[in-house]
Amino acid sequence: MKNLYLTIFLTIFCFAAAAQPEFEWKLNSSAPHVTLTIPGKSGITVPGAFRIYNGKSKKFDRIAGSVKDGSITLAAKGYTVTLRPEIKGKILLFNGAITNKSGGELFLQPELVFLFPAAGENCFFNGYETLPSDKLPIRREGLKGRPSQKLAGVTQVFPAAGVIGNDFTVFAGIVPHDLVSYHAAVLEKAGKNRLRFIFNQRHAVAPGRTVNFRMVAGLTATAYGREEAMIQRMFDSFPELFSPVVSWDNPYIWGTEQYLQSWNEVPDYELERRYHATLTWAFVPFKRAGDIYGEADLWDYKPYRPFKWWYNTRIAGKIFDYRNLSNETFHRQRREVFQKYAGDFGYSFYNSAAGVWCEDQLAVARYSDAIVDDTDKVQKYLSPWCTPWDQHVRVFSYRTSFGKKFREDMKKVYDELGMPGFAFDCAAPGACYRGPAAQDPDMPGRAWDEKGVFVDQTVAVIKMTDFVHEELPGAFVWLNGITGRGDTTMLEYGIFEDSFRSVMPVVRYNAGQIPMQTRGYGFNRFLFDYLPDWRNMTKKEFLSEVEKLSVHLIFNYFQYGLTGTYNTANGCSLEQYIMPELLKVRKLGWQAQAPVKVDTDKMFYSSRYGTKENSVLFMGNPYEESVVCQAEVGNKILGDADYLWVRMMRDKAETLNSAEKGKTGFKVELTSRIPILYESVCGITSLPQEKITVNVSSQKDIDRVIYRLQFTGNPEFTTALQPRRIEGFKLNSVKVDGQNADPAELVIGENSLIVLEYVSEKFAFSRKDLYSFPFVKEGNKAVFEIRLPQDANENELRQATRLKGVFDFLVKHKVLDSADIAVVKGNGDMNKPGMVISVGRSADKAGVSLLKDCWQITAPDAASADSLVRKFSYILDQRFEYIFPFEPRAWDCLHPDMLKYFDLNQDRLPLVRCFESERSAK
Amino acid sequence: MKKFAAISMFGVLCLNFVQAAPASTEKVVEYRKVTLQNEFLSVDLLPDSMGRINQIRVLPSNYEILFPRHTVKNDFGSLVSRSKGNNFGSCDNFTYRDLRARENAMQMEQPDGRTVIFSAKNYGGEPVTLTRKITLTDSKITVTSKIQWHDRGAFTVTPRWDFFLNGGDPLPKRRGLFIPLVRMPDANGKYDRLVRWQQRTVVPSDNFLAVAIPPQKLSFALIPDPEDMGKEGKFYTLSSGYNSRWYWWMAFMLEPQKMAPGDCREYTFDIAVFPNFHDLKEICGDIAMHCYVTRSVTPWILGVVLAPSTSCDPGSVKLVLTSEADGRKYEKTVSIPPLTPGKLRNISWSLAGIPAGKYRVSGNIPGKGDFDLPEPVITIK
Repeated sequence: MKNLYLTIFLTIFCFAAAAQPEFEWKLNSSAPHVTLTIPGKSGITVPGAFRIYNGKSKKFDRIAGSVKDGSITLAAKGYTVTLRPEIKGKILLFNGAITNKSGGELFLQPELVFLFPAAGENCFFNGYETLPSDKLPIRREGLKGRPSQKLAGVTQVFPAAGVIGNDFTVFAGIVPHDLVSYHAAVLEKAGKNRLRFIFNQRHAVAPGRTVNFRMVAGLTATAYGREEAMIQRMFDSFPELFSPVVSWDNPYIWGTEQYLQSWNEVPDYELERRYHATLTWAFVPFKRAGDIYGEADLWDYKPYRPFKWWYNTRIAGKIFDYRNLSNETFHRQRREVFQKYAGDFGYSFYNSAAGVWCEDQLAVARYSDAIVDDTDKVQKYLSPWCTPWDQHVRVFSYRTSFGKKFREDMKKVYDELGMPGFAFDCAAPGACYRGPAAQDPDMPGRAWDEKGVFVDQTVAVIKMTDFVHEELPGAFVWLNGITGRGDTTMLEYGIFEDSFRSVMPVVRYNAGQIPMQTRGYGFNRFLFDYLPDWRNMTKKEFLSEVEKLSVHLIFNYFQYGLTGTYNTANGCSLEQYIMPELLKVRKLGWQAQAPVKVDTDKMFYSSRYGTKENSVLFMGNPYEESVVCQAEVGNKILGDADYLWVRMMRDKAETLNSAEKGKTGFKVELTSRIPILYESVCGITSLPQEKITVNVSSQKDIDRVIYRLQFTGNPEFTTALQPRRIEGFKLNSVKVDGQNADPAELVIGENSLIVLEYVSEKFAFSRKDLYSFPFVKEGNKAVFEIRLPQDANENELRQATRLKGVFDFLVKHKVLDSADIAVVKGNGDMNKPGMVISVGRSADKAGVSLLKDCWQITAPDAASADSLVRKFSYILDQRFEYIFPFEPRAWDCLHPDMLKYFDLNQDRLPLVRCFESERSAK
Repeated sequence: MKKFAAISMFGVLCLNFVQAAPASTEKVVEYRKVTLQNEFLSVDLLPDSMGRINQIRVLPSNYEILFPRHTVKNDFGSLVSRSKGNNFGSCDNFTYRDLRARENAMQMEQPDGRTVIFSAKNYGGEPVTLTRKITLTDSKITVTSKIQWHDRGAFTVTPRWDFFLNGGDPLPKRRGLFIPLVRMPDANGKYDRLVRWQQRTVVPSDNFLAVAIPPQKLSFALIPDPEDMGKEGKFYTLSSGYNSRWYWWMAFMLEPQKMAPGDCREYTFDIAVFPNFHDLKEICGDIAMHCYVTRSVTPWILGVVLAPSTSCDPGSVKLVLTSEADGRKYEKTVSIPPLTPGKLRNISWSLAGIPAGKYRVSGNIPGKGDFDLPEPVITIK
């Protein structure tokens, strides 16, 4: 039997085309190897091999095989392997299966090995960090990127690694979220001018069993960053694995979270809305970890320490004091809390940290098979932790007695409380479960090491997230960490913490496009060390420093698609001002590669959201001087077309584009210390050969958006035009030189003008209407009526309360002097301005229109009414602007010493209206 | 108004495009140093970093006692810079707010070649005006700090000092390198006893915290004024690592004191280095000592070794043996010649005529104070 190897040639020929890989491959039917080539221009050739290391013999197995019907069948002593290669997106995917035909357990390690030409300076992205290749070998083994930080929560490696040369990057890995307990990446020398790159994974295969596994590989141009290109190829190839599992339009996952404010306090809808909060970490809604339901027979027990009052004893105004709380009262109160607030505030049921921890006595008594003894340098016990009276032990929640009961409990709490989602804390790799379930041949993700068979904690967490999506439909998973299929995720570090720098950007690479929030200490602890001389500063000097820090936060938010909390927002006008844009672009999906270059070194920050014609580019100049520079966008990274761009503003903008095949150039005003956004207006699939000039302008109102594309000096050409998608708007018309046209086949004549007109799906009034509406009488007093039908239903009353709440808030915070807003049933006083609310009656779609001095607010059902009125409230905010001052909302805002010293409670940093042409000009 | 710097545009082809690189620029902070030096010690101070004592170098060996401050500064595109480091270096600190990461610049005076006076209003960003005088005398550094509280309300202030000693070699060679000594209450509460280091917080009842460094044949001690320590003063020590190197943390906290606006507090302590002496059992004033009994001759001889940190004129030592059985005391006064740091002085007392029994050794050095050696307990047969 000869030593079989699979040779892979990957040849690069040009920058990536959007929908295909940059390389071609061909399976050679005469021999068991594959050749990946692109005919034409020469590039790089990277030979590769597939091999299997045997963990028992501690040698590479000799494997032989054949190729038939596109699949490779390999045989070794005691087992067979099939490999079916295919192109998926921009990568080569190997679908593999190992069948154990021996009488004993097999410890196998399939590997992809590449020989990379070591020309120039190379780097190695090992899945966690990018390192120079001058000190070899570099080994990254297992799923943890580094020794544990906290609970190893955010140190999970990206499931691929790559060698990054000056021009090309070769990469390999596994499919994200595959149940693999061990994988590793190695870079070592292979002779004088080559580097050997190995990516492997481990599987324990029981006798008679078949284990499926997958491997990925790819070759890409090194452009727009280092590892970013390969990460982007993974994003582009597996978009479904880097996106929310629940609907992209889930109303909860894309907002902010404001720590525990809506949990430990009685929630305030209007206050939360103004912070754009849609998520609440419903922390520890149980007495005892591992018993999240609160079973009667488990209720009375002797804790490790006495029960006591702590900050989580008060939940949404109810007292959960376990020193004297009966099981019945607990359930009644918890039901009341969730029924009253869960839907409005995105309560996410904290489920004992993704089923990773269980109260120790309970685990020992009932779930001993689930206890994880080999915690591989991460904690086995936590004491105290989420409940300060208990000691907790690490458990494994899949195919164990604990996992079975835990799933039953998840269903029970979901059925009883109806929360919109679950909060998965400690969603992390790092502990090795070796208990009875790991020895079950049918347990997925079984790996091996020198101690025998184990399953990483990751497998249980992934299965738990899958369980929610499969068994509790509609519920979202909110991760603290990045293991498993989350719908939204939290990074429990603030941007000023050292840990933030140590885990970014790999956390974002793992999260992909799902929304992400940061939760940290804010300015508070940082400022004392950062500005030790603060008491010797003037107020102006101090605020100038805070303003720079605020811009740093904002730039990082845009850089990585993050939102923060009140503790940095309060008083920081720009942070509050940019939130609509930040949330809007984040919902387009963060991307790893921002294909933009500028002819200045002032653009320190850049990022990209969305793909193709729906892309948005962020640029940030942190320096004191503003500059005007030329930008060049590499269109082929974005999609199949060439794209035209305009500055993304709330009202109007104009950008002169210079487009040619593969790239678009435009002048950028990199204003100092404000976020700059450019949006792609459309894709042009067939540009003429010569460079064309297009002046793109936008005009945006509440009810419509118009983009004008004025071509200049171009020859006539025919192309498809891919208009941008705008959330909440529909494309109403595409006109070429005033004539309606089909964007699928446009004939664009010399100096043509193309007009794209979008109309709002919900709002049929203009900004002018909003500003001229007589909400307020003399004396800055709001006087109008909210009119409901005579038989007003619960939903109509609810929306009336919310709209009234908008104005009550404005009075409370002195934007308005007073308000006389009556909620009336029936016709009311028709001489007064009004709002008429109708929910669940004749209308089949939600919308707001203006009829003389009366807003008509109509929605077909409760959910659409909630969404509509919330959006309408944000429109009202444009008329009645309010910026939260520095006054602390809760802990970790500016420190009280500083607030007191500079008398800052009611102060705000200056507001730069960076997304408004007209108001900023004033 | 934002100002734009106009850039001439010659077209895309002639432009040098730069890719945005959200990476920080990182550099090691080079602190400005002020050095006090004599024939025994060289002391580095950092006027721009709270006036910290950054290094104490023993001369002529150049052995560096402290693990110096190391800070790396990252600049993020002119908006923010982050400093990250070991936060070492010693200065006035407070328990209610840790100032170890702070980097205030201090005003500085040098009235003479052996003294530096640092001062700052709002020291470390706190509502404190501080003046610190650092004086080098032979192999002793005397620190006198005066703080004035000027916040709007009264506050309990607990001054503390932290020292981070060079742990020397990596872990495998560390064993035996340091023999930290702390004083802890004896079980019977009558005498203190010296204990070998155990890695936990210790609360000695007396007035110094010392560490012996046998390879260097020297001892290092922090000697606060017992009155400043009061009843609630505390000593702490701990070993740990930074950048794969070991260090010893030695710290003391003075007695907390409530300070009303305008209140002042002054405290003094000595940092003493005892060259050629690594068997420290007691410190009398600024003289370290240990004692032993020579049993190879009859009658036995009690020997006391004195190791000064400053030069002393000729004088005397009163030695006292106290019987554990009945408390009877036997005294002897011994003359001592001039003392010089680095030169050990041995004084002796023949134990002829002392009844059998167990005895503790204590005594007094005029001008320095009392001493009370916890070890050894001498058994005369």
